[in-house]
Amino acid sequence: MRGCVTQAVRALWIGTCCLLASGCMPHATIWNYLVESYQPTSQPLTQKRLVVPPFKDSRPTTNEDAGALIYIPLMPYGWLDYALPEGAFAFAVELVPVHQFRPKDDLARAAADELRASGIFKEVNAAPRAIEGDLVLHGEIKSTRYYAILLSYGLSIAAGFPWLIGLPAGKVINELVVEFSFEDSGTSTVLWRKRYEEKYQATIWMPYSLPRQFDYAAMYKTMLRDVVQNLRQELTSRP
Amino acid sequence: MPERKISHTRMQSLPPPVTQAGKIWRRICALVCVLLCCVVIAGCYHPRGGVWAYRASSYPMPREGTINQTMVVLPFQDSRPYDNTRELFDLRWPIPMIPLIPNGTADYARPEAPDVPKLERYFYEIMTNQALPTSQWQFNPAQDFAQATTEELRACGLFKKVALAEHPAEEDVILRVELKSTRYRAKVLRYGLGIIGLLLFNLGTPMASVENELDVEFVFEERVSGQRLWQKRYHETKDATFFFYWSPPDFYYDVLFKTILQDVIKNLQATMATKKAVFPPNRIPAAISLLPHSQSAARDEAGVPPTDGILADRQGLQPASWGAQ
Repeated sequence: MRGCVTQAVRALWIGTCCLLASGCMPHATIWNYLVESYQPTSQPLTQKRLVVPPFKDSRPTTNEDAGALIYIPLMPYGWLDYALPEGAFAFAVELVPVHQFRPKDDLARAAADELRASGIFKEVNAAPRAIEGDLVLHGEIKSTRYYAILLSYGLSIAAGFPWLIGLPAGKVINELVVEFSFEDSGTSTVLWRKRYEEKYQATIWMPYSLPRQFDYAAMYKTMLRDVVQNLRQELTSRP
Repeated sequence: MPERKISHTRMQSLPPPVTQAGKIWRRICALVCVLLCCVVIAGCYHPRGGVWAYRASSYPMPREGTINQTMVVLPFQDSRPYDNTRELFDLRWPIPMIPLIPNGTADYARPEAPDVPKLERYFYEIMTNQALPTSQWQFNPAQDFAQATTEELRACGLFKKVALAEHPAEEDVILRVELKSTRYRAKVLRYGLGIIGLLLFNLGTPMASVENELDVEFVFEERVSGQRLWQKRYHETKDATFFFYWSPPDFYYDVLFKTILQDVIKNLQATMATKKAVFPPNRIPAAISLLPHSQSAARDEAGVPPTDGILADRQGLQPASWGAQ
């Protein structure tokens, strides 16, 4: 009888440990932009063609990975700070590089896809250059900064213990700053211009909750929803 | 009596008893050693992953007298060789453990090829103790260099218009560029010591080195006459050393090209200043000399107030003449 109780306690203990250790798996670091679904329109708001050239890239060019500092005893944290996340080999909880993320082209193509789906324009193309008479949507990428902080509480390789009892293991921040300008190539007039800043941040609870490391597509979706709305307003308000 | 002698000898061979202070001193030494090892192991890395990140400079507004001519940048002629070679170029186990193995070398004429291993990636694999999936550089030399040249020449405002095109059309001057080398040379240092060499790395001796070489030739000529106005060949290199606790990027082609283009612009400016017959200065009224170049030119040509996009930027949004047709 006593042996059965001991075995049951042991099984319960092992089960609890397994439950604690089985956290959520991290999400893939991949650029995957999905276009919104819009109500079909019978007539576009303008008969002109919209061209979206590759975006201008004005981001800084330095990446820094000081994540290994957490191995130094008494050093409470390490950090990863990437201005070009597509050039990094690993993220805070995901030791794989981003799969072929090309911001200049990917962001322009996503904007073209989104605006094509919106039905505002007769035709939308992602093309390197516009011809006279086209409408052009320019974009300038100011930041795609990835910043993560890893907390070790000064315990070096023993940092796993505070994480296991539920203390946060760190934080991850994605920042996306893009400036759009909508121009008429015929008159070279800037019709609309707006700068967008979006930030995603999440706490890392190791190993229970490993948040997304690469959330740029979702942030860009928020921006493009507003861009579509703004362009629609601009086109309806002007003759 | 002899028994006493033996016991006396045994007493002499025993080590002296460790005092409390001695124990504390030993523990402090051990802790310092552990801390030192941790500090040495914990490095700082600057991964770039071969991402081409050229940023055009910002220039002051063109002065009075800038020319009213257009330029076409033709796609770069790629004359680089095709040989990508490497010997014992591997940082991974077990090669570094084997003594008397010479240094590993890599010499890539076309480093952007997807199947050639680069130092930065190897280094990261060592540090994270895992194999990374094959990563391709985001670098297309012929296209990226030409695009960067066009952007830089547009930004500098020396010309009314700068286009990147397959063939010249109506442009006044042509810039032809030949890409002769983007050689990537890397060396993995082993010191022939096998596993002891690994300890040396921990103490801070260099682990590897990389050199980027860029060799480009620019030719600036007039389209109609075909007259060669300026020609210069540039050869730039940049190297970096990798340590166990400090890993720099292994991709510097954008940095090298930036240096080259800055000199190209200076030279073009000088050429244009000396060849007045080819580049007659515009008669730009002093009142609009502070405007960006394209507007000065437009004003000069048409004799009407400028209303192009750049001015619209400066004055705020203007009403448009487009809409549903």
